Amino acid sequence: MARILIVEDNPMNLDMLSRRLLRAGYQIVSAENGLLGVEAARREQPDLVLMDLSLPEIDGWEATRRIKADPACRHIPIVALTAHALTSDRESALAAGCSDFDTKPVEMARLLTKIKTLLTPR
Amino acid sequence: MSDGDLDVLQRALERERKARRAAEDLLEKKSQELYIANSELRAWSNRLEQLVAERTHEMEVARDQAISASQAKSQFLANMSHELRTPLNAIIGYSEILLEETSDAGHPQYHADLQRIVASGRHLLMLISDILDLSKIEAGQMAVFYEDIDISMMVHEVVETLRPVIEKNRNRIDVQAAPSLGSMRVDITKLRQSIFNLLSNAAKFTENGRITVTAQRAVGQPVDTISFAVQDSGIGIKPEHMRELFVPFKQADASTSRKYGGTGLGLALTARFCRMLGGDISVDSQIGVGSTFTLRLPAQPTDRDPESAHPSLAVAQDGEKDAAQVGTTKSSALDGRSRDREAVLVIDDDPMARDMLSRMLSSEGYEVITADDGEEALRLARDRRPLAITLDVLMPKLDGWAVLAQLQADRDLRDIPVVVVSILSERKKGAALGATAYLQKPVQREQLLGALLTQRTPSIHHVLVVEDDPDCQQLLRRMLEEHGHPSRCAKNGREALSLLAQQIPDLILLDLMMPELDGFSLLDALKADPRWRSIPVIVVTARDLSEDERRRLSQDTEQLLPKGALGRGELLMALRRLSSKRSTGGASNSDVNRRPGKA
Ligand SMILES: Nc1ncnc2c1ncn2[C@@H]1O[C@H](COP(=O)(O)OP(=O)(O)OP(=O)(O)O)[C@@H](O)[C@H]1O
Ligand SMILES: [Mg+2]
Repeated sequence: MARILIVEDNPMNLDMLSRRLLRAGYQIVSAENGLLGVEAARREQPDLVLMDLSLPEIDGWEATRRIKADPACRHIPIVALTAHALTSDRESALAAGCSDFDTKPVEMARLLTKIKTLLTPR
Repeated sequence: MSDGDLDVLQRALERERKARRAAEDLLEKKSQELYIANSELRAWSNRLEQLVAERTHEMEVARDQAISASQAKSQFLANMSHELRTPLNAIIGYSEILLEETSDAGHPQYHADLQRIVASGRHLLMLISDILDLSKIEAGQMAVFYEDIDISMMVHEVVETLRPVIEKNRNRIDVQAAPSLGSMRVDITKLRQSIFNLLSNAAKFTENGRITVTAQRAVGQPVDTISFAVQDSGIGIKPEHMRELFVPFKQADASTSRKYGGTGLGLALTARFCRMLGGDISVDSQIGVGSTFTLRLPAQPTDRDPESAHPSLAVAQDGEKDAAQVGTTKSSALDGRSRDREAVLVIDDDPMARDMLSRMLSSEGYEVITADDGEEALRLARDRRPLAITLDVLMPKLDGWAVLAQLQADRDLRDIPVVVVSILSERKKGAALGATAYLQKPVQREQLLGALLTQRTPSIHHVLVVEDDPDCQQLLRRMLEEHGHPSRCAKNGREALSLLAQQIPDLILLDLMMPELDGFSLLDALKADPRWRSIPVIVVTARDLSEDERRRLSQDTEQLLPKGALGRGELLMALRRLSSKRSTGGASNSDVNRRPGKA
């Protein structure tokens, strides 16, 4: 059973995402700001991280960079999520080390496909 | 010497002394007057300088305010859209969850309602994104993100998303996009949205009809061109509405929004996206018969470094840092020949004015070249042959009038439209020196774009191309489309006659050597029919003509263009000449249409 860490500060978004991912059969861990997100990644060693980009404490880009800088976590794929559909956001998210990018509100089918692809060992 | 002599001498001397004194007095008086005049002048000049300084300062303030207001506006829109999205996010998300959970638990009675909530929510979200996109493009802040995509897959994806909408109006859809089309490098979000907009229009404006989506690759240099055509058999678009299609919030007529809904943003965005990607969009439509919208995009970005940050973004952030050269939103054109078909040369010594004009233009998808003095400007005009020029008057060294005069004196440059943009109000002088438009600073965006648009040979709408060679036909058609003239093609005279029977074009481009019915015979047929007699004809031929043929053609046609020398410049000039002739009272085909008997 794959475990997903959701880093998201908006309680409704977190609630929605986790409920839908639970229904899709994933285990969920969550963190409500960037710093806690980095900690949770180290502690929980999830199989994948869904990272909101605008977060308190440190933002999603910085959290991604820190997770990617840690040899123990470097392998974990990160999918950036943001409400702005700015292409520049997407570019900078990929530059920070995210493996993929999606916009909110999520289209569940699309997000699930992305998650599945990233979780399939190559 | 006698006393009398002395006397005479003395008197003469006295007279001379008096005269000199008088002269000296006069001189003194004059120089005093001069002095006064001079100091008055100096006072005036000081005052003038002060006035100019004040005015300049006022203008600087106004300009800074305008810039920061426009930045504030786009910032506001960005924030606003974020604020609107957050609650909308929850509405969409929770209704989707409800939809999933209720259908699992078996409450089908809620299903349809929840689906309506989700669909409306997503629709609202799309509108918000459209408005945000448009304002970003206008603020020059839209970036392009290139990636490799599978063409066929992308097209099928869009069609699948819209299938329910297409079928709602009982339309059949036919997709021609084979996997063998391969891939292209493009900003997929913008391309997908463009095709989505065209297809949703086709679905919206067609009932019980047929919609065809066709993707094609045309091999070319330096890169291939990929075209996407969306054809429908719907209500069609009136010719007089064609030109406003791409203007934001414009719908063909007021009844459209009542009957079909929508905001009129779809095509405006599509056209802008398309230009940002280095391509173009064209329309062919007949009322009651249907419409075809075609996107043409380069298969690869062809700029030196298109993947670097968007240049106009750099301009927006760096302000006047890049004083001399290029600010462009257009990543490329389709091939070398038409490289500068959308380039506008901005000539102004004031970096802020340059920046403002460049931004207005590049947000419309024009490529912008800038020059900060007259000499540089002339050099760039010769090198790049821009589509149009904006020209400041007050510049050090070579001023605007001198630049204009030199442009007019140069045979190759004289046909480039020049829009003078100055703080002076010397409209007459501008016109006399050959400027095509005169705008007084500060310029409004709409004025500038209007002045440039009217350069585009406005009175020619439909062109009939009669040409048997497919390559040549394609070339002419493309060149015409680049300048906003939709065209129809006929392979020979006979086909041309049957097209003429359906619709009277504003211009015919005619090849002479063709199978079935050749150019000369077609000309005879045109002359014989009163409806067709006054259609202007431009002959495009590869053939050496006899003296006799030449004489004949010069009577029956507007102009002769040798094929070998056929470039967009020549064609454009011929069109422009023709349209200026028509707007100053030449024969117009709409007259012919209204009074078919007369000619
Ligand atoms: N395929 C078509 N057939 C007939 N008319 C069309 C077609 N496509 C566009 N039009 C006309 O052009 C207008 C502008 O189209 P556009 O897509 O920009 O706006 P819209 O569809 O009215 O609104 P929106 O796309 O913002 O929902 C339409 O209102 C319609 O009058
Ligand atoms: Mg539309």
